[in-house]
Amino acid sequence: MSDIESSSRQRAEVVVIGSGPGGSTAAHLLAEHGKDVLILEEGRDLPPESCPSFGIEEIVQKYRAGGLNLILGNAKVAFAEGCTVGGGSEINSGLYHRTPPELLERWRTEFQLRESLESDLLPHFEYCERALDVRTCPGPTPLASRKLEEGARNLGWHALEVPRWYKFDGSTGPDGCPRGTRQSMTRTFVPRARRAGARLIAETRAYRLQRSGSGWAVLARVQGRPVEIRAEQVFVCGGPVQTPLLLRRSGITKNIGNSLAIHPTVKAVALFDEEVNHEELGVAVHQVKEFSPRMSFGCSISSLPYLGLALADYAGHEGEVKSRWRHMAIYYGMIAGPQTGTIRPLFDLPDPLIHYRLSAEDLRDLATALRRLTKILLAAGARIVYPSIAGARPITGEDQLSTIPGALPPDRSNLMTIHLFSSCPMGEDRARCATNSMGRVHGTANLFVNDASLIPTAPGVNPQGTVMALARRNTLHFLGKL
Amino acid sequence: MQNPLQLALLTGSTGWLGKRFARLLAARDFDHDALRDLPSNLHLRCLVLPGESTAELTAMGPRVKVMTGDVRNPADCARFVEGATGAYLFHTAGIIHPKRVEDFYRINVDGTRNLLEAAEKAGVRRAVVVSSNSPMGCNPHPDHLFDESSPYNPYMNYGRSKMKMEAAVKEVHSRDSVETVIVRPPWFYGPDQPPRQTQFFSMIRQGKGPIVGSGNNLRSMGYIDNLCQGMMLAALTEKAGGQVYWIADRRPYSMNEVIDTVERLLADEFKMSVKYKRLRLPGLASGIALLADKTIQGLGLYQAQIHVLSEMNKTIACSVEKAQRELGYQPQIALEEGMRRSIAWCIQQGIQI
Repeated sequence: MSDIESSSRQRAEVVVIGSGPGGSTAAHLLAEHGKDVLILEEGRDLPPESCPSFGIEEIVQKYRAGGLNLILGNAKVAFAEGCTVGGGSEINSGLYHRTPPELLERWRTEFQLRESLESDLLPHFEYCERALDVRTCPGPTPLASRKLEEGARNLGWHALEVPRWYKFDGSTGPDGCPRGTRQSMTRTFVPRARRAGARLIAETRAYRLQRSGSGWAVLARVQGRPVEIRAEQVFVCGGPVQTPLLLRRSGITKNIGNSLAIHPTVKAVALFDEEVNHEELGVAVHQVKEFSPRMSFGCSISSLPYLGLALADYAGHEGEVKSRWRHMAIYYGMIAGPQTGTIRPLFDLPDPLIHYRLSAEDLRDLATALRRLTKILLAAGARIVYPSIAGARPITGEDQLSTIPGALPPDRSNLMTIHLFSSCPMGEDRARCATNSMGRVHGTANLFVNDASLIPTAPGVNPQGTVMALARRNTLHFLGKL
Repeated sequence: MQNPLQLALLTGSTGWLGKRFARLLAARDFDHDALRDLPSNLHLRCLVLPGESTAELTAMGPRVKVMTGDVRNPADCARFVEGATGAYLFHTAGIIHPKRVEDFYRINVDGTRNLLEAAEKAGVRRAVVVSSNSPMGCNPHPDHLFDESSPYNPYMNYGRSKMKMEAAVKEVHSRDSVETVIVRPPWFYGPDQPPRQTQFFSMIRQGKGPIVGSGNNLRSMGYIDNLCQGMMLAALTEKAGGQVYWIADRRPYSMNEVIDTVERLLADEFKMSVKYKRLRLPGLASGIALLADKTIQGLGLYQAQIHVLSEMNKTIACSVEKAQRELGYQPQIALEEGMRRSIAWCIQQGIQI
C-alpha cells in the first residue's frame, strides 16, 4: 500500500503534510508542474466506497478519535476532524460556497491580505468547481431539506439550494431524489497527484519539523516506525488543529494557534406529519441565509443513531425516536464566531489542548439562532420541535418560543462545530498573522501552510471552497505561474 | 351569542385593567368571534374616585359617562347603579398595594359588598367581579397548576381580603337576585401599565432583573386584553352565573422566560442599551423578605417592594381550561407579543424605561 521503501531516511523535493482539500490541491498542482512530491497522511488510505456515507463505519474509519473531539472553555464544543486520505472532504456533505466577497474585502483591510479579492480568486473558484463537478441537484431534493426552505419562505426569509461537488449517476433513491457520488479528494486531486508522479504514504504522522540547510527535515512515524524525510520545501496542510500543533511542537509559535475561530452550532429535532426521513436520506442542500454571515441554518445528517443521540436529553423519548424517526429530521443553526480559541501541545499527547471562550454575545446569538430555527421549523409545519438544551421543553407552538432562554446556558447546551479555521491567519499584518498573503510562514523560508488554518476569520459558510481556492492560488504563486 | 347588553357599569375605571376594559368596550374591540357584534348603542357608566382625572374616559366617546364616588360609601354605590335594571356590572376596583393593611378590607371586602347590595336593589342582571390569584397562595409543588377547585390558602392580607370578597360575592349570588361571576387574573401586563411595572422593565434593562433561586419557578401572567376578553365572556355566557374562572395567558411562564423575553425585546427590537445581568438572590433572600413582609403587615403597614420580592421565587400558576371550555375563552396574545406591545406603549407615552 505505501509508496515508500522502508528505509528510515527519505528525501523529496516537496513534502506535503496532509491530504485534505488544502494538501491535495497543492500536491496535484506541484506534481503536475514537475515537482517531486511526497504526501504524508496520518489516516488510512481507503477507497471512497470503503463504507457508506454518514454511518457509524465511516466515523470509525475516517474520523480522528472516533469523531469525539472536544474544545474546552466556558462551554464544551464537540467537533469532528477527518483522519483519512482525502481528509475532511471524505466525510463532509460536499456543500460548496465561494468565499463571500465582502469577507475578502474585510480580510484585505483587517489583515492586509493581498491579492485575494473576488476577482483574484475567481479563476481558482472556477478551476475547483470544474474539477470537482460542483452543481445543484438535477432532480428533487430530500423532503427534510425542502421543509427548511418552505419554513423560511413562509416567513419571508431568504433560503437557497447550495451546490455540491457531486456526480449524479442517473438513478434515484426511494424518495425520488437523484443518487450520486461525492467528488472528494480521493476521487479527484489525490489520483491526479499520483498520476503525475506524487508519492503518498498513509498512516504516517509528522510530529516535528527541523531546519536542515536551506530546507527542512520532517520527523514522522510510519505506522509507528520513525522516519526522517529531507525536503527543500514543506507544505503543512494538516488542518486547523493539527497544523498549528505541528508548528508549535517545532518551535514555530509566532501567531500560531492563538486565534482559532469556529462556527458554534446548535441543533433541534423537528417532528413532522409527513415522512421526511428514510434509510437512504440524501444530503440536505438548503440553507437559510437571511441572517448571513453572522447566522445561518441548515439540515443535518438525520440517520437513526444521530436522532437517538440528538434526543438523548429528552427523557422518555427513546420510543418516540424508534417509532417515529421517519417523521423526524435534525436541523442546525450556526453562528460565525470571532477568533477566541487557542491550540497548545499537551506534553507528547497526539491531540492538543483546545480552548475556546464563547462570549456573552455568542451565547445570546446562539439562543437567537435556536429560536429562529424553531420558528422556521414551526412555519414549515413541524408538530414538535426539540431544541438541544438539557432540561428544555418540546415546543409545539410559536407562543412557546420564549421558553428558549435569552442566552444559551453554557452548561446545559450541546454545542458543536463542524468548521474550524484561523489558527494560522494569513496576511501582511505581522502583529496578528502567522503567514504572509501566500501562506509562507512569517520569518521562515520554504515553509508554507495551506489549509483552513489560513482563513483569517470565520466565513459563515462551508469553508472547503475557500480552502481550495486559496490553496491553488498559493501553490501557483509558489510555482511562479500566477 | 345574543347580546342583551345595553348598559355596562364599570368600577375602577381609571385603574390599569378598568381603563383598558373601558377602551376595548367603547371601541367594541375584544378580538374574539363571539364578541364581534356587540350592540353599537352600548352605553358605559364609569365610577371614578373624587379628584381622579376623567379626561381619558370621556374622550373614549359620547356613550361613555363618568360618575364620581367611592365604593366604601353605600350612598355612592346606590347613585352609581341607579336605574341600571338589566345592566352588566364589571367590578375591577380594588387595592393591591395600599399604605395601610386595613384598606385591603375596607375597599376589597366592604366596598364590594356595598356595590353588590346596591346592584341587587337596582335589578342589575349580572356582576363580573375581578378577584386574584392571591386567595389561593402559592402552588404546593412546582409542577402544580391551580384550577377552580383548588382550596383557599390566602397569601397575606391582600389574599385574605380577596378571599373574603369572593365569599361575599358568592353569598350575594345565592340570594338569586343578581348573578355573579368571579374571574381570577394573576399578575397582569400590557398597555396602560402603572409605574411599578415600568420599574420592572427598567430593572431588567439595568441588569437588575430579580431572579430569586433558579428562576425556573412558573408564574401565570395575563395580557390585559386577554383578561378583558375573559371578563366580557364571563358576562355574556349564560351558564357562567355563579361560577369562578381563572383568566390568564394560555400557559404559565418561568421567571427566567419573562425576564429574558423583556430583555431581548428591549435590546433587539427597541435598540435600548441593556446590561445583560441579573440581580441574583439566593432563595433565602425571598424567605427573609417574606418574614419582613409579614412583620410589617403585622404592624398594619405595607411595603410594596418587599411584598413583591417575597413572592419572586414562588410558583403561582393556574390552568385556564375551565374558561376555555365553558366560556370559549381564546387568549390571543402570549408573552412575547404582549411584552412587545407593553414596551411600545411606554415608548409611545414618552415613559422612560
